[in-house]
Amino acid sequence: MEGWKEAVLWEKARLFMQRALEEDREGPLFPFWAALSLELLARSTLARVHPVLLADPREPENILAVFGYRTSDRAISSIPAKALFSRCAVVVPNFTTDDAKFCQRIASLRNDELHSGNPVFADYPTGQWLGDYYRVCDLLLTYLDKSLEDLLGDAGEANAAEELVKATQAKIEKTVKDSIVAKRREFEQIGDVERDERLALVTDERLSAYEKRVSCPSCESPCILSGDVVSVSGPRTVEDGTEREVVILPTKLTCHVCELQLNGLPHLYAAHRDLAGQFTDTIFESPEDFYGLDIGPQYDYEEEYDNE
Amino acid sequence: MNWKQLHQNGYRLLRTKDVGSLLRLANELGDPISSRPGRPVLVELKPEPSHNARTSSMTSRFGLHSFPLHTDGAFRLVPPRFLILRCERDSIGDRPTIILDSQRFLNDPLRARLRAHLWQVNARPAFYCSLLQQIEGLLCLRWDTNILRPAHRSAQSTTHDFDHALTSIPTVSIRWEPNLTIIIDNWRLLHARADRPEGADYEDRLLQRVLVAARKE
Repeated sequence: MEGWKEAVLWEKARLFMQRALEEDREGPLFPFWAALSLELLARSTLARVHPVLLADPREPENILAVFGYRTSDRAISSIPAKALFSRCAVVVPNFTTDDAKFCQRIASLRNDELHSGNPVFADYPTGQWLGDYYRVCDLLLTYLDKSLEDLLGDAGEANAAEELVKATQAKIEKTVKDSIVAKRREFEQIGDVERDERLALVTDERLSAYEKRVSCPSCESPCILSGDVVSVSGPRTVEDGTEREVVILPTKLTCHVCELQLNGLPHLYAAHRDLAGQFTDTIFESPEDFYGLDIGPQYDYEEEYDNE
Repeated sequence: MNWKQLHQNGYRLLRTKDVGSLLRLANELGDPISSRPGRPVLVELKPEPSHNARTSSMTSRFGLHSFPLHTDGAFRLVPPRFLILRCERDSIGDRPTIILDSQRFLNDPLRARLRAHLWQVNARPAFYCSLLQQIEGLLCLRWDTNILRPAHRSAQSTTHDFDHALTSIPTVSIRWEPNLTIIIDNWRLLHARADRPEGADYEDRLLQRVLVAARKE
């Protein structure tokens, strides 16, 4: 499976990027080749962990083939783009499920371009996607100990890409700051009674798994930060069951007092860098949950024994 | 082993008295490897007509004529670090090996393009790579017109410029005599076999070759 090796996939990602850079930036072939390059870059990233992460698990032979065992001459298949980017969200630090969705959108457009008569990339201005594209590439490249210059092959192109990433971040920062200010103004205009009612509600609010309470960057009331699972520790025995430590990468902030909502790690970072820091949650499992036992319903009544 | 001359010039000339000392030298440099699976580490090279040659070899294309400048093992993901050639016999001594140091003819802009652009390597299986790659902290040049094709438009013009640069400085000729041995830095120097001596209808030139991979620390 030479074709699933990290180095081989990396070189092809670079080739497709070179082909993209040779095209008109406003033409359909620039995003087309860039989309192909992104997918191969992601595949190279998973291959660094192990090429078996690229094997489509629906057919066991795909997994055997990675280790050099073949039972037929059937073509070996790899995971589709959706699974590819989802796995990157598990493997690559700071690559969130939102980033996976962004990559998946680009892959879907590429698919539509190849398999339909629609001129999908004919009107796809770089302003709509290139900043986020380079940002997610940079996350994958960092995992591969490489840089945008390594991918783009030219210091000038890399500088322009980095500037675009910064501009995208600046745009996010402006959007986030504006919405924080707007929500604060709205919060200051509500009456004392309603404010107290809302505060009372959030004080009693129970946290679900993978959530944490933080101070709202707009109204400073307690609000909820939630996110994606980064890692789960092994079980630790405690009284009545087991506990595991779950590390969470924040992706969403919801304030039920001023109604501020921030989605995505870059937005949280723009609001306050502390909000983008990973946090740990502890989950409890009973022995029944841990071992997957179905003990049956617990009745809270007893049968009558001929009592009158 | 005197590494200084090898580092300075990209090659070193010395004498080895037999195959045993050639192999000991190879072991000192790194890990001797065979050019293809199942072939011996030590290969004998003699000028032969093209119909005798293995398909895709230099001899199959160029027969008894000169070979173009190339690096050995360009079809490998990691080409051999060193190449050692030893003359077993050559009674005429008029078909030298030509060497050319890439550090002398590559300027910085061309070097950058060789690193950025991609070529298709027609190996089995085929793969893509740059002509100049960073491998374990060192730059490795790969060049073999038999198996390398530009993979995109910019690589075509870079190939043309590289071809042109190859002729911009004089080459060094190694004239063979028995026991003469050369260690070539295969990541830095290109080499080629010169043409058949004018008017010669007989040649007994026999070289022995060992490829050496960088030893993993």
